[in-house]
Amino acid sequence: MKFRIFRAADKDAGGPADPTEAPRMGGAVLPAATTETRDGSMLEAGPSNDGPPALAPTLTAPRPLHAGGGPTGPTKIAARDVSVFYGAKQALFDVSLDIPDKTVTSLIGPSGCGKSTFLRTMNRMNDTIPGAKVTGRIEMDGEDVNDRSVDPVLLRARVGMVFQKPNPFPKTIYENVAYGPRIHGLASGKAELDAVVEASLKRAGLWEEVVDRLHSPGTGLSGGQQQRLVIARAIAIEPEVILMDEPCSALDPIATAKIEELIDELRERYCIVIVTHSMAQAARVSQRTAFFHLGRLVETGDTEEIFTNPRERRTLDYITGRFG
Amino acid sequence: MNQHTVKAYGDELNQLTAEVARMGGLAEAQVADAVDSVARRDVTLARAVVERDAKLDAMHRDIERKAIRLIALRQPVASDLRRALASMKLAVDLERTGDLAKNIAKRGLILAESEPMQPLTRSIERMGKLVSMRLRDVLDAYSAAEVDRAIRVWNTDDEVDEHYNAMFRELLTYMMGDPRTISACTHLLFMAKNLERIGDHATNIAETIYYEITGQEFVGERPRWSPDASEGGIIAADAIL
Repeated sequence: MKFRIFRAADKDAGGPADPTEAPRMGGAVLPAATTETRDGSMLEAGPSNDGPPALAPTLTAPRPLHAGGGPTGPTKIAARDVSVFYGAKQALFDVSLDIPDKTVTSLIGPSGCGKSTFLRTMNRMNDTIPGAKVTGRIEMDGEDVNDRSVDPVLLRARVGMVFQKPNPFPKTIYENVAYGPRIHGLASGKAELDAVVEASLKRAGLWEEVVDRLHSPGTGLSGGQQQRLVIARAIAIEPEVILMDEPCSALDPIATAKIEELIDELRERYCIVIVTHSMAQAARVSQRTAFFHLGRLVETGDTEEIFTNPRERRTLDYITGRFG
Repeated sequence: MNQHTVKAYGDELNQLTAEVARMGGLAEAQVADAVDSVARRDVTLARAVVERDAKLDAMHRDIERKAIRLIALRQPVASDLRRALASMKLAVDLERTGDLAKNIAKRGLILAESEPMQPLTRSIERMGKLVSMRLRDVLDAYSAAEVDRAIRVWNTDDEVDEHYNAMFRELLTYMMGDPRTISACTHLLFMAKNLERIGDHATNIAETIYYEITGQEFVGERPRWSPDASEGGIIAADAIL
């Protein structure tokens, strides 16, 4: 696979290209809700330590702080005191959250809690809503996405989005995937474009199923296939972040399992943020979970912690089905 | 804790807890009756204890079945999941406790056929009272969801161990003094060992309660009896039994 990644912001502003060098938020203003983030050294203190095995069953052995999951990359997106207003109504209140790269972060919470609103701040989708106003800072690799110099179209090329209902273009399967690379100038010539389409469909786990009908309409696919087509379309332009707003809520369990498997594979390359109403899904696919309620971020932590021993009462009530 | 939105789910969890508490009550009674039957050489009571053990086994299976069903159908998480798992673990400890009580009663039936050994059966009775009390304490802690109370039981297990070691020495002295008592004393020694094990189940139960309520593994250190601590010349009890 060789095609250029078109990223205006990087070239012009000399912005960070390597996420591992992404400037952090100084580490000073982390809200209480995220202070339990565990660093790598603590992760390694797990049970796999190769000290001599304890002979006697001892009750004093240190409890492994963290048995799995957990963020695997540096902070990709840092939100600080983000509030969103729709006209006079405030939908989101001072949300501060670090979203790590190469990790699946799930946003959970009851309807109207602000999780989708928060998701949409990350690629400025709220710009499209008349009367919507966003305050606070959202930094991607240290760069404010709301800065006037940032072109929202280019931003959305870096931050792809998948919606609840699969929304393929009324075009062929091939064209659905080729459209983005073509308008962003990511491929020169037919052969290169073919390669991009094939690679994207393969990465979305759809290639085998559509290789014989690349030129039939995308809308003729099943719901689950359409959703994977849309994901292929999103990854064709080499985004850095993929936002998913309830990507499986319209799919059957098998199609859902395929998407979840796909999300798990995509995690190696991308920063993924998923909004879901299915807590079981959040538990299955994500390493980090953030719980929203009434427009506020209540608690965030490793998914394992949130689903086994959350610190906040409201989180416990929500995940155990005691809300209201 | 708030109510579950799905009321039947909350009811099922509560029912599980109630059944474990009920099973605990029966196990506790089995231990007390078994010890009583030995102390009073009451053959009828001993037989009743042996027969009633089947009831505990049935309750154990029932709790396990209900917990599995709840996990499969309700997919509990966090504190609810721990509650379901704790019920299964507690049922196992209580079932084992019942088996040990039954074994004491069976040995009581054998002892009833030989000469009474008053001072020794009184020692068993004292140790039995102590163990029954601890079992009751820890089960009350479970019903009331009181972590501190459970931990108190856990912290005092050495009392049972001390009792056991004292009995071990006492029985050894008897057997050395009069080899004709060896058969009866061996039965008494096994009874003491059974009671000591019931005490261990009570500490297991305390640990499970701690986990269910706090979500943390119980970490603590208890002074453990070791052969080094025993008096010279006496064989370490745990080494041979």
